[in-house]
Amino acid sequence: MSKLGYATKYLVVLAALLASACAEPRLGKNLVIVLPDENGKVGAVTVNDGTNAVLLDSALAAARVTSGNKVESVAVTNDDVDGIFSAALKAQPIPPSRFRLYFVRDSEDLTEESEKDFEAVFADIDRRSAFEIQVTGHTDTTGDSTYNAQLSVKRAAAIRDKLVARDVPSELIEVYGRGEWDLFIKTKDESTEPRNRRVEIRVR
Amino acid sequence: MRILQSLCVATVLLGLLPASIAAAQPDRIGQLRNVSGDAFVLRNDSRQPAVVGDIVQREDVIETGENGAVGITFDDNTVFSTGPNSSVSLEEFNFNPTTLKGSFLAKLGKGTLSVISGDIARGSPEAMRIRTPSAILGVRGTRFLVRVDEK
Repeated sequence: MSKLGYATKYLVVLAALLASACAEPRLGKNLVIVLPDENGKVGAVTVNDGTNAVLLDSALAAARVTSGNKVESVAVTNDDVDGIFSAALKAQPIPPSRFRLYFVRDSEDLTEESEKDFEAVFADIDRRSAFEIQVTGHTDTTGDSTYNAQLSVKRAAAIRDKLVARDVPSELIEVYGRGEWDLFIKTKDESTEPRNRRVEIRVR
Repeated sequence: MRILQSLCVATVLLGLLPASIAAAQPDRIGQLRNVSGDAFVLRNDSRQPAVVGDIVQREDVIETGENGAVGITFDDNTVFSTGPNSSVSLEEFNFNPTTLKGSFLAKLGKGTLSVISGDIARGSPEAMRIRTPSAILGVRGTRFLVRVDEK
């Protein structure tokens, strides 16, 4: 083989070595993947490297940061998700649950139907290793707003008392009242709306 | 006399405060769940084993070993969980439970993190951010995964 032949051969081997050493890991040094939530809904995440940003707004949309600190889109599969994130996903706390219970007009008494729905709160608590509860009371826009603020707190407190009566420790329950300021159904002032006479219970 | 008056006012005000978790634990931002393997909470130069039910505070760092994993629920209903060989710094967390607005900044130094965002991320697009050594993420109401593997 000629001298030039050897040189070419060396160069090819050297280039191959360099290429393999510099080969970009497929999923980069930083990786971000967007997943649908438990209801199938997908939000959005932007990934910014300081110069460029990639918007991820569909299920399994992903971005990697390359060794050159550049962010770019990358294709990933469910197998990638399972392979890399199985331990993190397994440790994921049960997402918070929300319950909405309705009241008889101008009272702290649950409607008959909501009285039954209330049982689902206890089933939810039983699923969790540890839990906390937030109860937020609301009213419709009938009557004075200061009176409604008080009524909303009384509604939330009534639910707390019902929980405590069934052995939920009171120190795990937070109570708030938001009067007529956070309507579930938007109405004009002085409107009777049964769906606004409610408490929202968050178990997490 | 004036001091006595203000003391009285303060006492009355204290009596009116609702008995709530937030009032009892002013520094808390969330609670630990689903701890397994080697997992630690770094706080003020101390390094304590992570225990289910313990609170987490602003500026805590959560670390896991080779077989460790930790779940966290935050007071805005954000959910975090981190896998093995991970480090998660809870750098900034401000949340107003009445307006449901606030700001949230966490850093994943290494390892894996799964996130389901909560109330804070429903605010402005900049309200919730996750940093990695090489990028910054802006979060708008969603579930997502992050890995940092810088070697």
